[in-house]
Amino acid sequence: MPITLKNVNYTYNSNTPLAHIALTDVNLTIKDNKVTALIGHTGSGKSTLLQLFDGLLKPTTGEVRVNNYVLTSQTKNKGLKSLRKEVGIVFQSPENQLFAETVLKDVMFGPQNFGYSDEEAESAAKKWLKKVGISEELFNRSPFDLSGGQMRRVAIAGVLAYEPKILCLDEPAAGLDPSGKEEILSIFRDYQQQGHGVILVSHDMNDVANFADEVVVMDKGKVAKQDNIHNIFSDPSWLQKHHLNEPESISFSLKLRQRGLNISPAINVKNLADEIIKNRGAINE
Amino acid sequence: MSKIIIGRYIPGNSIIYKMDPRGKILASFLFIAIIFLANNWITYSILTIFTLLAVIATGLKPKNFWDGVKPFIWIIFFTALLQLFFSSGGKIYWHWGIFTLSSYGLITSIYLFIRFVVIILISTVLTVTTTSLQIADGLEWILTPLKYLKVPVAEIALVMSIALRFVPTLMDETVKIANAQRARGADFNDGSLIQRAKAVIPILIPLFTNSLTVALDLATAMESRGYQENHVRSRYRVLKWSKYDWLNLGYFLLLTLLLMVFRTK
Repeated sequence: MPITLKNVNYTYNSNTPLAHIALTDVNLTIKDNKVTALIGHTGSGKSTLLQLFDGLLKPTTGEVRVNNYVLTSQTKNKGLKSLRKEVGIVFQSPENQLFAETVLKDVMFGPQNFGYSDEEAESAAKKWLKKVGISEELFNRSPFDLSGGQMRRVAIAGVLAYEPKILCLDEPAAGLDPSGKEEILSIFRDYQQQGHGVILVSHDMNDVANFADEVVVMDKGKVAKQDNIHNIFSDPSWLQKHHLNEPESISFSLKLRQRGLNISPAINVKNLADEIIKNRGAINE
Repeated sequence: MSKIIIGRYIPGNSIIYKMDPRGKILASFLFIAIIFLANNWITYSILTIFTLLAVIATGLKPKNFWDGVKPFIWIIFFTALLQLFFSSGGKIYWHWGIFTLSSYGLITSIYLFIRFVVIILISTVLTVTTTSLQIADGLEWILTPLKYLKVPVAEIALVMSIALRFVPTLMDETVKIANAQRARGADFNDGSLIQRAKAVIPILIPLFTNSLTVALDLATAMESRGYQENHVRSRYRVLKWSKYDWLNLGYFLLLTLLLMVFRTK
């Protein structure tokens, strides 16, 4: 179920003195069953793009195609619910959206809205709460009694519980400690491997390099480049021009190259380690 | 929501923008009081002309002011219609049951209409040309005499500035929460009245808890920067009374004088 954008423009508050252009002439195809990362400087239009995917925003001009849904400026709000079941969004700091009196009820909120029966919703909620690492004794606690990291997990379970075909993540790991981050990202990796599309918005290039298959680079409301991670990160000067950094493993391998080692730019730490091992002979000399 | 212009500042650079908020607030109060001096067509014309001159002096597009009046238009029409059909006196043109159309009713309904519109226009002039922080500072100055009645004016002013500072933040937060719940399938525009009222809960509860968290964090941050209750603090934003403000007050005093001269007993 790919997402296709054709000549999409988006302007906030159009026709008012406060109008602000967020996207200009975006053409894009996001493949399904892959992890696609959206990267770009603050204000480059990444979050706007995410909200177009499930109809929270409608393009000012152009069209967005998700599966059989076609969204244009004329699209009515009625009937978008079934689209929102297929495209789930985990917003930035999703812990701010918890509201129900117990953890379990909060996770059941989404499935119930999308027509699950109460029993189905409950079993889905229990399944995904366990998968994100929330133990059973917390199910009947108030979500406001949990720690920040646990709240984040509950909120994420609240979206996963209705198993959207495409999962959009807006900085899902921001503010988490390193092990929490890794755990959460591996949950999303599993989800993708079960045959779902995952779209990740992130500022952390290390996460992108570890996690994504494809990368879309946004700059000032336009798509600057779309390619696989190796090609995107192979040119540090191009990245700098678009206000982005390369992953640390790449900058490290470039430093090693300057010292005369024949190392190809490594996309992540594991890659880097492999490259160094390959060059062991040269290092020993 | 975004169309309502009252209470919203529109940046500009005309003479009214240079005026002191204290003068503008006092003038608006004065204006609302003296409106009731007008009681014949001469005084109402003077009132209208003075208001329109003030509107023109802002240098903003007429559309901005039309947006200010628009949300109230039905209330205005409704009251004017009541006045029109339920007052008798003077020449009676038409009569049916409890409804009467008389010359007296006609004139009072027109006056009422003008009165409504000028009040809205003048308050729009105040709010579009003055930032909310300026208004808070101005109100603090106006409330100063209440200190002698043991009213904590400085604290009230602080509360006002903090509240005004957080209006846009909370608005953004509300939109974000609503979007997140809509993405989870919540529906705010569908169903019966009770269902719609219930649909607001997933927005209100997070909004309340977030506001309380923000309040606690802000209080700690203020304390760690040396804020203490009941201590005299200096002020960074100083209001300055200039020649424009004498002009402003003079303008409205002139209006008062004219209204007093031309009103009929």
